[in-house]
Amino acid sequence: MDQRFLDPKVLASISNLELVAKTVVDGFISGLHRSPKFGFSQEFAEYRMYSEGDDLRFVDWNVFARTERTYIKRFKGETNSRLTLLVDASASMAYTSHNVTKIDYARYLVASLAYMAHQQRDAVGIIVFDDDVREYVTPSSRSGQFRRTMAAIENASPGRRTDFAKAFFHFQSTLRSSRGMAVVVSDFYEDPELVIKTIEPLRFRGNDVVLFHILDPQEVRPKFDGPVLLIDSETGQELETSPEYAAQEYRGKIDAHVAALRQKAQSAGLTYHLHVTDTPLDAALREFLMIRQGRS
Amino acid sequence: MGFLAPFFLGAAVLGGLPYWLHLLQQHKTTPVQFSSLMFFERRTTTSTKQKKLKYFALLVMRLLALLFLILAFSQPYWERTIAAGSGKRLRVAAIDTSFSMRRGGALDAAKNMALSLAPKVNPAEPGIVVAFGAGAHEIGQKAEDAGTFRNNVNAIVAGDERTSYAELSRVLRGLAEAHRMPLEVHVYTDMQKAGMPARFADLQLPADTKLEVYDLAPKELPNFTVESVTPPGRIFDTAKARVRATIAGLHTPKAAKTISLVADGKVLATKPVEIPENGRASVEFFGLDTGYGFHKGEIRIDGAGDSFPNDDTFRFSIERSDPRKVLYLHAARDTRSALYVKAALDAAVPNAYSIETASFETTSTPNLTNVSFVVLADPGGLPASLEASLKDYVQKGGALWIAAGGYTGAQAKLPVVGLAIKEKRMASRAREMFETVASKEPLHPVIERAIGLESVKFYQLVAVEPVAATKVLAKTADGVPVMLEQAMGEGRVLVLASPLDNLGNNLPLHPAFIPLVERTAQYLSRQQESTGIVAVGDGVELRAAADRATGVEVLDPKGDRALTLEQAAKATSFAPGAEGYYEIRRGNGRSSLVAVNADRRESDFARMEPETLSLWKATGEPGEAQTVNASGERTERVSPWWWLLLLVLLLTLAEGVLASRYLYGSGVGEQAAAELVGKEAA
Repeated sequence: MDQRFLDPKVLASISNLELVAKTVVDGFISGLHRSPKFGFSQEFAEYRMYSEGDDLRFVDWNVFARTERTYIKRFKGETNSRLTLLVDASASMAYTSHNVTKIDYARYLVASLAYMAHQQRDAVGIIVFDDDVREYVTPSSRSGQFRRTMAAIENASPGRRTDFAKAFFHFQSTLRSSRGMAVVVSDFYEDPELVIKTIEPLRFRGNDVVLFHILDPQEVRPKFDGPVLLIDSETGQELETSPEYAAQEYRGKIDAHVAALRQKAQSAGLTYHLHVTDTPLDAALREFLMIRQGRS
Repeated sequence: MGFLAPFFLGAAVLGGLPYWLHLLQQHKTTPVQFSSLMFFERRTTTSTKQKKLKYFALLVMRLLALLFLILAFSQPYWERTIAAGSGKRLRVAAIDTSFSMRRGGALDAAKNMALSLAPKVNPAEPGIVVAFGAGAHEIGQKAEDAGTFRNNVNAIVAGDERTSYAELSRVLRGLAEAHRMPLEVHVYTDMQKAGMPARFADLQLPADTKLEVYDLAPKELPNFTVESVTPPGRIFDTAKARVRATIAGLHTPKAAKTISLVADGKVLATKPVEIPENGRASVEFFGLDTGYGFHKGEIRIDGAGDSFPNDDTFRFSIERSDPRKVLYLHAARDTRSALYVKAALDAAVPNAYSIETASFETTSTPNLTNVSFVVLADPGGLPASLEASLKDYVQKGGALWIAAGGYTGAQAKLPVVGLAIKEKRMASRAREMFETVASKEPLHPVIERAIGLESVKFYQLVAVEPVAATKVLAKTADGVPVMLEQAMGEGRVLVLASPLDNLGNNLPLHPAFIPLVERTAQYLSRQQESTGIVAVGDGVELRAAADRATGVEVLDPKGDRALTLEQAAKATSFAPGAEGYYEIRRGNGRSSLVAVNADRRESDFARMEPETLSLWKATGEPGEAQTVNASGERTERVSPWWWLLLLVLLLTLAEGVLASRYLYGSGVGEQAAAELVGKEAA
């Protein structure tokens, strides 16, 4: 695989998000030794009787000529359902210690997933939230949906503080109706128990839920040359601390937080994945593919 | 303890600067935006404590470095007392043995005066005898009794060197250092002003030295001397030989003198000369009727009537020989190049060479007996028999000068030497397209005097391919050799990659041509350029470094060998220490005669001013750092300033190491961040 096109630093230099997504996905797919079983392209699945409202482009006119009955060709990809992307756009996601912010990384990630799902003709939707729902695109596989999704991703800029409970209360109703896959992308600066409790109900409705935990390298292993006055990007709170604390106690706490999130997510049947913003995106894409294949 | 520069201590307030900076550092926090403070806690107190501990060593080092630096500038000292018993002095009798001391028993008078010191010599206050001229050296061992001291003084003999008081001072400084005793120096000299160095600092005496100078010459002694002689060196035509001499009167009234030209003890000519008051006059002799070989010449003032007759004669050497034979081979069509070369040689060294010209077409087996060197002017393709005889001639030690022109450039190889020819570069003279010399070997004897060779325009160049044994003497900007030398057997071959006919270049009309031809002829005929006159103490070149395998023998004026066996095998030069004629026999069978004269600055009895003498004495008086009290005890100030500077250096280095360790040691490696992610991925 050409890791260069999955490197966040390289992607940061591409301004068009759709191009980013295409670059990532194409680069990822071209690196696989065999073609993934997407089923979106030419893999025929079944015929179905035409019903009102179906797209006439998919009518098999050869069958109609022989039988005078209208059948619709269905492909494997069409057997898939829907992908809902939930993106945390709180102020803390604007943090970076290098040239890719966490929100940028999240954008690349969800854009790549959306592009990949679009290629399979999955219904794709997105919810951007901080302490409230700021953007909502209903999952759909209609033409123009991809563009709308991309526009929503593009507009996802860091806002206020995170409030999982409040945000999820608003959009739970939208996920009630059908089975699908929900991808939550956040830095999860919240009590792990609260996070899982809030997200867990999505699983009850037959959704596959994936948590992508996005952190900056400096958040994982902070390094300060001297005493620092830290300013919280969401609350503006100030706190003086020392390099020694950051090098020892902080690490223990963040490690424990990550471990708790992972353990509670697994217990609740959610898939958890940690991504540091200086690592390539392929692990996230591979995770998505594995779940996707499991569903088809 | 005291301070030599106590006002520097005021800078000690600067010591507060690092402390203040450290205090500032303790309260300094850098505001940093962070995503969430969820996992952070306030850690101000702990941080400062740890920081204090870490910075303490740094602070101490910085304060100490600054303190030591200030102390070093303030120059602290303490006084060390040296007991009266240790105030003994080493007595030094320094006797001037320069050429001027040959005057009227001056040296004997000096020795007699020095002998008066002998009774004072004892084991506690030993004596040393130093003879000085251009150099200074101890005579015998350190004397602890009067007898030894007397023997050492009596062992001094007269010399022909010039006086150098700087050399005496240098040796005195060495004696004080070696014996670790203050000196009591007695100098017996004629106090010539000419012996003073250009820099007064060279006269510096060791600390606590008593200097006593004994004047052995009357004031401004009048003296006539033969100051210089310009002989021809080598003569080919005795009638045309010319010898010019300058006669000087130093502190003398106007006088008429008779000057004689003497060869091998026989007076050849005599001329009267009027010498103005305290001035100079020139005299010139024409014709030197001598036989073949080397001759000992002299210019002499007859009846000078002064008190220093030793400088009334000036020696020189001359060699009479036949002109050296040069064979100039050229193409029949080439009628110009021989003319240019002949004219250049005649202008530079008249009658030194006899040039025989012959054409390639008519010469198949030339007579190369007694030929100094052969010139091949644009040879092109030589007849096989001619080329074979030339090769044989060079292999056996002959010399060849090849000027390669258009016809040679048409060949694949350069004749005789066999160097490959890459191409022939021809340019139109009308269009002013030419090449020039861009770099040259400036020290090679052939081109060292060819000044302006770079401005010669070469319209034709034959690009010769050099091989390992080829030495390129001059080349163009793109590396094409213009002049090169090729060793071949025992002989020498010089190649000029352009013709000598003023068509392929403008060299024959260029000012560099005459010196180039002269030095080429000299180099190829293996003649050493020498006037045959040197001053006592100056170097005479015996051999080039490359010729070390050949032995050289030097016979002094008495006929004794002047070199040791090692010097005879290895020395490249020789400095004669006395006047007279030295015969130099070189390994290749050639010999030469060198006339050695004393430096004529010794003839000037102008004396050192009393003020200068006082200043010289003052350089040895105890300085600010030393005092002598009434009981003879000396107190010496000892300052540890340079130890302090050394400490500053060490502290600065240690501080640098510690500071860098602190700066880079507290961070974590870049790989650490990947650890957690890797663990998660696994």
